[in-house]
Amino acid sequence: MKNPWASKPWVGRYSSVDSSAWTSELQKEIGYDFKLAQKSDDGLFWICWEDFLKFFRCLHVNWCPSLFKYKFVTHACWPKSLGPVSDKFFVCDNPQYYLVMSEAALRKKSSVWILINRHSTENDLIGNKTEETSLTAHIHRLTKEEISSRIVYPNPTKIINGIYSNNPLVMIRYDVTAQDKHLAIILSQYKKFEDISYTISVYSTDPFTFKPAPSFLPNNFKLKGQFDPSNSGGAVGRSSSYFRNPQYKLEVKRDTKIEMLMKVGSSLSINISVSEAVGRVNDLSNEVFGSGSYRTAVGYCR
Amino acid sequence: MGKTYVVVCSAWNEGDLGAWVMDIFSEGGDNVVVKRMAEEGENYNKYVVSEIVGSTGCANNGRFLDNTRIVVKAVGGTGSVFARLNVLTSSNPDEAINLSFYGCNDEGIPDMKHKLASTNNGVYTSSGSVASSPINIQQNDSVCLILSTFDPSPTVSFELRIFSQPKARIIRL
Repeated sequence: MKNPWASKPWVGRYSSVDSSAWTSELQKEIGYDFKLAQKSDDGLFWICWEDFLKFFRCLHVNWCPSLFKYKFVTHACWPKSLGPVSDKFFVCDNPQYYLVMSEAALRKKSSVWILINRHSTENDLIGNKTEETSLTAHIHRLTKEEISSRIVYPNPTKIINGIYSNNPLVMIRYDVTAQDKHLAIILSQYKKFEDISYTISVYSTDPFTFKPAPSFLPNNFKLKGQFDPSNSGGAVGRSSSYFRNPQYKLEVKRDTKIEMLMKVGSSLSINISVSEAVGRVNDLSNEVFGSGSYRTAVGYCR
Repeated sequence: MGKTYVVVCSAWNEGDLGAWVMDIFSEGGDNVVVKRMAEEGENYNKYVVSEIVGSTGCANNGRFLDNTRIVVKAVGGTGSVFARLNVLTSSNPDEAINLSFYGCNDEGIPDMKHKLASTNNGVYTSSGSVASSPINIQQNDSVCLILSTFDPSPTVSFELRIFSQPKARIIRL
């Protein structure tokens, strides 16, 4: 055991002052030098199980990062202004990282340990905070196609739901499976109220690559509109007024990838549909892509 | 080679209200142009007829002219007219519908050899909502709209929206 204050060891049975307990055979068996231990006080000590149960209510188990041969560390900040206070409905504004596991890691079902160290602020240090940041990370499993863009929706691809904690250190451990070639690590705050900076350290027993998720495509055309009584026609297949909804002509001069991200300020469920047409559409027989199911607050398609 | 698409934004409930923002991301610098399309019937005079009626079905059933007929008479000049038919409820949940414009005399009797426009080129669809292509109408001329279902139906609740550039008089026959 170790006293976290790094001094003042246990002085009962099997301590460094209990000469009767330490036979030479026992010292040899566990690699303990009783005489050497008497000369130094680093807070490390032995204790028998019965006494441990009697005197301690909890213990923390430390881990040794050097056990992992492969490691990647990155540092970043997450400004309060980036994304909504709650990421309940969409996570595309959250910090996102993509983890690509090597074939060896998949074959050996390697362990990946992700440590997020939220940097302390001055207010943390002086205890002058009325709210506390609760941070975690969620792990998503992606297909090869999905790694070319950011994750927008919080749930469909999630495999590990992180637990929010106000502890500055958050650890997520995961043993990869054969399906985990592409993973996404998405940071999440329970309720975002301040800028935070952090360090992410990723450890694994086998090779991997770790990098920030890509941004949306570089050219951005922003549309603003509103559903009002004259144009809010309801859902496709649900309302006969669907085609009264706002329609926009999209002229594409050359072949390009397109991503569309729609957000509403209220908790409406929304959808995007894109048809090949020149005038207002009256049916969806020429729909080429869309955001699929109606989702609260956000719609995304590419 | 360029292409043109139409983007439709919708909310789940008809009448849902709220502001929205859409980001359209693409690869090229000036590759994509987005233009708002005029709302259906924008700058037109709008007339709405809502009723619960029975339908005698398409022409195959022999009583096509017993379907709901509505005359549109241009009284404020010359211009374009089109219409949208929405089925609100029906005894048949997959009701296939059609809306056709015919030339007619002053009494509203349609000239069946003079069809001016028909939704989906005369094909009945169960989409719940159909819109005609626009036709031109002269001052004091009348056209007759015939609303029909493919099969006879005892109860159809519908909403007909008529969009007319000239002011019009709507006469339910």
